[in-house]
Amino acid sequence: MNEFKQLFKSTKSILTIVIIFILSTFVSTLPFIAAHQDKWEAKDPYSIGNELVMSLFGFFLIFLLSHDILSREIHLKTIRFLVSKTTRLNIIIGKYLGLMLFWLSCIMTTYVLNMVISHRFLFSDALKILTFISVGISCALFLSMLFPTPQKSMFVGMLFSFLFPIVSMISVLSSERLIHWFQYMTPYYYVRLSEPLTYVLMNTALTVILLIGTALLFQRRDV
Amino acid sequence: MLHTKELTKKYRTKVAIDHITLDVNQGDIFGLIGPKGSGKTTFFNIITGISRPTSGTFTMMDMPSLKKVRQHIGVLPEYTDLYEGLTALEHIAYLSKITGTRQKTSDYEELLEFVGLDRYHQEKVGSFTPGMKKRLGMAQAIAHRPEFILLDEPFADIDADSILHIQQVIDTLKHERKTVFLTADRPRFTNSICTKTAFISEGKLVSPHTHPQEKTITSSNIRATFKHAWIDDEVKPVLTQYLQTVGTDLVISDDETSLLIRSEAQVPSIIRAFVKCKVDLYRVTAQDAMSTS
Repeated sequence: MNEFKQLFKSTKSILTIVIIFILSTFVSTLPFIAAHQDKWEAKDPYSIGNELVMSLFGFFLIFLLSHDILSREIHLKTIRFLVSKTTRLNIIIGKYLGLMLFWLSCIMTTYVLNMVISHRFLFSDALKILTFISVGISCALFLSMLFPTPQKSMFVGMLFSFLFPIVSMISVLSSERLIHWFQYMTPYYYVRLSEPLTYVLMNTALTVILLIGTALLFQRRDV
Repeated sequence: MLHTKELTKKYRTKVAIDHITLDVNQGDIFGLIGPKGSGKTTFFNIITGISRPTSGTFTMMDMPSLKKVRQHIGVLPEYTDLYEGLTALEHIAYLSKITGTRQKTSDYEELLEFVGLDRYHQEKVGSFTPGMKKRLGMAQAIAHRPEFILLDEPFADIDADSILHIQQVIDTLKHERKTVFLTADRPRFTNSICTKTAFISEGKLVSPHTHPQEKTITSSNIRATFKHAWIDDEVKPVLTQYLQTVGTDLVISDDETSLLIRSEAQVPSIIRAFVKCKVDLYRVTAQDAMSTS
């Protein structure tokens, strides 16, 4: 809850909502959205805008706000307070839930703002985006544990947030074997599948795998 | 309360602690004394779950794992930053919530008063001095009223006032029959509080006679006596605090104070302590303690 409070109390939450809202509203008015609207799973242009914005900039925004979610605490040694009070798994889950709560608030606020214009609240589309964000948060936790100084986690996190969407999209579109296998490890592959439940389930599976990886790394580390 | 068996921690090229076996019993105020780099903090980190041993085992409150005893122990780790964006009150509340022992705000306020931070409830921790941070760390360690309190270097790098407060807290815990395990690099702050002491050097437990710090203390052979004006009861703890950092075997009465020091070169700093406490000095004598005993 500390993570949620710290992020939500600051201007970061308002900025995040404003950025997503403005970008998605702008994208929804682009002519190619209207032209190909019938090909998208989400039929609402605002929802398509949100989905596109989060696909392109979601990882960047998540890492910008939370690249040092664990590395900061390890570096400052405040993690020692937590480790002496609860299990390491609980710490990981607590951090994950805190960040998820922040993003849930931001995404829901954006959808409510969209609803004011479009008069529709697309809960299932919001849920899909949240599962995508869940993968991003788990990646941030994993890298923050792998690189336990804020400087390293910022550098690696920013690099990752730029490269991951690009490499993922290349792997999905390419038929080259060397990179094609990577598509199964990204949410960008599952979003193309027509069944939205598969997308949600696969994102949940990716989240669980990353969280287990983070917990295993944490178990082995002296803090 | 704590039983360690052959606890060892090895890093690539260094053995940080080497087959340490010790027991801390219910009601003990146990001091693990050793110079910097002797392995105190490594040992402390292992028994509090911050790091893992290379070999050896330990049990805490008769449990082989820390999982079930976390709510019954209080930990103050060494050189730990606090959450600087939080106020003192929020800090205690946040960490108590993690332990799963949430209490009323008035309880936290009472606790902050106990460690001498009653005027700083709503102050952000970022503006605290190292001594105040240590006192707040102490407060979070005892917030959930644990049975066993573990403190790593509670007297390191802090002001005399904070040392006094922490000593008072430990003294209260002693009277409440709580068990305390603490580490320190010198016995001067722990002599008056600890009921048991072990010495560690280069990762191994050593006997007091081979411990360099202990040798220094026992080699104090000058008894300095100060005849002075009447001292109020309020001043005595402050003066005690100052003088304990200079010598040992301190005896303070209303109009005379004596203590063992290593050399006459320490007398000026003792006089400065009296001046700071605004106590008029009448006479100073320094005698060889061996010849007078």
